[in-house]
Amino acid sequence: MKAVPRGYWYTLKLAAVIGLLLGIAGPNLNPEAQHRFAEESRRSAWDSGIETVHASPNDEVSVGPLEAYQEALDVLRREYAGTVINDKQITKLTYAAIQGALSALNDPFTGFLDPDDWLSMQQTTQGSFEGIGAVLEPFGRDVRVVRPIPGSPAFKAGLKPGDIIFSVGTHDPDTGKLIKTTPTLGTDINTVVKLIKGPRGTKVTVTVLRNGVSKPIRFVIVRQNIEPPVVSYWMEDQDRKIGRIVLNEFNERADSQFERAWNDLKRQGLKALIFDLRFNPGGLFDVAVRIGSRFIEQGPLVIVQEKNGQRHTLYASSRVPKIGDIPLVVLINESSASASEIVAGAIKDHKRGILVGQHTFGKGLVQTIFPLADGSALRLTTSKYFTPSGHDINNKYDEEHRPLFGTGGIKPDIEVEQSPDWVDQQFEDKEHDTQLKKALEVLRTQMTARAR
Amino acid sequence: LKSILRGVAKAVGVILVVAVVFPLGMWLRSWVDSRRPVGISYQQLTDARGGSAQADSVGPAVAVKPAETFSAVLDIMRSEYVEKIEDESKLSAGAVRTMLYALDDPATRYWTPEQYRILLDQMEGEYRGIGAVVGVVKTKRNGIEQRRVTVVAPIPGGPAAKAGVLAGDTVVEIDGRWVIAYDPRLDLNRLALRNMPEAEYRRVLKDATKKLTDGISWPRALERLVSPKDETPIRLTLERAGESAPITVTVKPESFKVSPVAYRQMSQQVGYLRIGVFSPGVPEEVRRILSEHSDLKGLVVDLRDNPGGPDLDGPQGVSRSLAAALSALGIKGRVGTIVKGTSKRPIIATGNGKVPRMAVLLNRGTANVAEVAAAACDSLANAVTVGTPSRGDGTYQKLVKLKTGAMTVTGGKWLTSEEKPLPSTGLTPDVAVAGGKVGADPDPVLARALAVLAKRGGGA
Repeated sequence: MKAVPRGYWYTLKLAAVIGLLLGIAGPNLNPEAQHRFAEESRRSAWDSGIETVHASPNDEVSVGPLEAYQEALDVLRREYAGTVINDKQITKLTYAAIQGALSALNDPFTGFLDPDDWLSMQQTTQGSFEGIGAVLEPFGRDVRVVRPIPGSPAFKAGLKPGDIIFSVGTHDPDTGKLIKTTPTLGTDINTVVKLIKGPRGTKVTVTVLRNGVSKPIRFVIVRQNIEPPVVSYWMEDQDRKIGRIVLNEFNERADSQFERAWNDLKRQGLKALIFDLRFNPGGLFDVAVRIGSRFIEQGPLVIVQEKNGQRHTLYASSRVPKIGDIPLVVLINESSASASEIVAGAIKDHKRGILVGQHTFGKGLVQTIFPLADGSALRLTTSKYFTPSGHDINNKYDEEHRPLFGTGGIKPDIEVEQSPDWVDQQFEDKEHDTQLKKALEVLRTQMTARAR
Repeated sequence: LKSILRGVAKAVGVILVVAVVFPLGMWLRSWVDSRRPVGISYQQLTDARGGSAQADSVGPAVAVKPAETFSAVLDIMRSEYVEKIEDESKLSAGAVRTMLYALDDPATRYWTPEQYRILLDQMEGEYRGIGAVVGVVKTKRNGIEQRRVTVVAPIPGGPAAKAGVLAGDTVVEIDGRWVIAYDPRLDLNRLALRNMPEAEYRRVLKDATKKLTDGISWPRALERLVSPKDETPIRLTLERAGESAPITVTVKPESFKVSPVAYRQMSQQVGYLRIGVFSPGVPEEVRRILSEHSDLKGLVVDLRDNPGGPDLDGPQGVSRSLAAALSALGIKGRVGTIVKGTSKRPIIATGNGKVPRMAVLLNRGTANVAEVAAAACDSLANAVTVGTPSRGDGTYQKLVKLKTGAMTVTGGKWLTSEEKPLPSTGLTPDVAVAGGKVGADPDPVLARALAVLAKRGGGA
C-alpha cells in the first residue's frame, strides 16, 4: 500500500462501488415507487396477524376496498370448508373482487377484463371486419350478428342483424367442397370468428337462426377483405340540389372523406344538406370535434368531463372550413351513438340544423383500456360528454345497471319512426325511408320559405 | 502537508465519485424497475365506441400477486375515473360481495351492516318484511344452472305465513317482475335445437327479453322480501312442489316479534313446547318452563318452521344454544358433530338424563340446526317424529363479523348424534302427517303427536 496512486484509485473505486450500491439499494426517490413501497409495507402489516373481530352490530368501521377484500379472504382461508383456497382460486376470487368493486360505480362500461377476456376482446375486435364482413357479438351462450357491413359479402348474401350463428361449414380451399360443418350454438365468439375467417376468395357456409323463421337458414359466402366505406354521398334531389352525406363511422379517414364529399357536392351546386348519422356508432373524439366544427361557426361544441369530475368546454375550431349557412337536416336514430351524439347535440343546441328521426342511443362516455402487468386489463370510463347546453349525453342506469333509454341521448326536433319495410342500413332505399322523406320535406319547405 | 493535501484530495475524490455514481445507481435501479412491470403499464387506448378499443400489442403476462393487480386497479381508478369517488365503502362492499359470489356457494355471502343487523334480529325472533327466512338455492334445470330464491321458513304468525306461503316455496316473481335466476336467453339455445314453430320461438324470445329488461336480481329480491323500504303490499308468484301452476299471494310487510320459545299445557301431564329458533336466550327459557312443570309425562317439541341458522363466533353461537337447550330438556350425550375436513367438533348435551316421553314435530321448514336437534331427540331420547320430511340442509355455517358488515361462510357439515350426515332429502318422520301449521287450530300434526304420546303412555 505504499504506492499512493494505487491507494488513491483503490479508495475512489471503493467509493464508486459503495455509491452505486447506495443508489440501487437506498430509499427510492421516485414517487411512484415510493407509493408502491408504502403499499407493500401496509400489506405486510395485514399479513402479520389475523384479527378475529367480535364486535357488536353497531360497531362498523369503514374500510377501503383492498382491506375489505383482504379481510374477507383471510376469513375464507381460515373458515371455509368448501373448495380449497389455493393460488388459482385466489386469483379467481381476486378478479371477482375487482369486478365487484368496479360494479359499485354503477357504470356498466367500466369493468375488469381478466386475461382471457382481454385476449379474446383483442382478437374479436381485430377480426370482426375480416372474412365475410359481419360484426358479431356474444348473445347468451351463442354468437349473433350485430350487423352486416353494407356492401360486404355477408350483406349481399342476406345476413341480418340478430341472426344467431347456428353452424359454420368449412370448405376445401382448392375444390370448394364442403368438408365439415361445426355446430356453434353454445360456442364462444373466438371459436366462431376463427371458423368464419379465412383466406380471401375461399368459401364458408354460415347457417343462422332467425327470429320468426322456424328453420335454420344457410348461406354460402365467399370471403373478402372488408374495408367498410366511411362516407357515401350523392345528390338526393337533383332539381333542388339537396345533397346527402352518409357518415358510417368517425374514424381516421372520416374527416378527409367528408371534405371530399362536401367539395364535390358543392361543385354540383349544393343548396341544402342532409347529414345522415343513422347507425353511426361513433368513433374517435378528435374526428368528431373536427367534423362538428365544420357545422358550428363559433362557440362551444361539447363539454368534456374528465378525471375526478373536472369539466371544460371545447370550442368549435376556427381553422376548419365551415359548411356555411345552408339549410341542414341531420338524420339520427336509436343506433346513432357517442361521437354522432356529440355532433348532433352541438348542431341542435346551436339551432344550426333540424334533427329528424329517433331519440339517439345515449352513450356519452369514453373508456380507456389500461393493460395490467398480469395480462388482465382495466376498462375505465375516463371522459363524459355533455352538449353545449349541459345536457348529459349518457343514459342513466337503474339499480340493476340497465340503461334507462331516453334519459340521455339526443332528442330529435322532429320525431319520425322508421317504416318497417325499410331494410336496416339500406341507405339507397329511398322508397321506404320514412325518415329521409321527412328530411326532404323539411328542407323543401325551408328552401321555399327562404326563397320568398 | 503533502499527506494532508493527499487526504483532502482523496476525500474530494471520494465525494465526487459518489456524487456521480449515486445518481447512476438510482437511474440503473429505476431503469430495472421500469422494465419490470410491477404495477401497471400505461398504454392508453381511447375509442369513443367504448366496447371496442384495441391494443397494438400487449406485453407478456408476468407473475403478479393478485392483490397487486387489485391495488393497481384502484390506483388507476382513483386518478383517472371520470367522476370523483367520494365514498369508497360501496366499493368495499361490492368487492366482498362479488368475491364470495364467485365461490358459487349461496351459503357463503356478504351481509351489509344493515342486513347483518336484520340477520341478528331474526335470530332473536324479530322480523321485518314478509316475515320469512329466505335463501338462495343453486339448482340445475333443463341443463341450465340457476339460483332461485326459496322460502326456508315462513315465521308462524307473520305476514307470509298468514298469506299461505309455505317452506320450500320458490319465489319466481315479485310484483310481476321475474327474479333473475339465469340468463333466460339460454332457453333459446335449447329450443333452437328442436324444430320449434315460429310462434313459439317468437314468444320465447319476447318473453326472455322482457324477463331480462324487467327482472330483479336475486340480491335485490332478497332485500325486497326481508327489508323493504316501506310497507307496500308485495305480490309474490310462487312455485310449489306438487302444484302444476304458479301460486300468487299478496303479502303486506310488517315488523313483528315472536318469542323464540312458547309453552302451552295440553293436559294434566302433557306439555307443548315451541322452539322457533335456537337463539341464545332459548336454553334458559326452556329450563325455566320445565322446572315449573316437573311432573310432565309427555312433551311435544314443535320444531316446524325452525330455520336453524349460522353460528356466531363466541359463546352465543347457535351450536352452544342447541346443546344447552337439549340439556335443559334433560338430554345427555353427543347431540351432533361439526366436521371440517379432518377435524371434528362434537357438541355435547349435559342433561340429567330424565326426559319425558317426547314427540318432535317436523315440516319442510325444519332446517339445519333444527334438524340436528330433531335427530338428537330421536336417537338420544327415543322421541317420535311427526309431520312431513325436513329440509335436509346439513351445512354448518359460520357468521363472521367484518370491519364493515359481516359474512356467512360454509364452515363444515353437521353430523347427527349417530355421526351420520343429514340426508339431503331431509329427515323422514316416524309418523307422516301432512297439513297443519304452528299455531293453527285444528292442527292435525299436533293432534296426531298427542295421540301417539297417549298410546305410548306418555300422557293421560
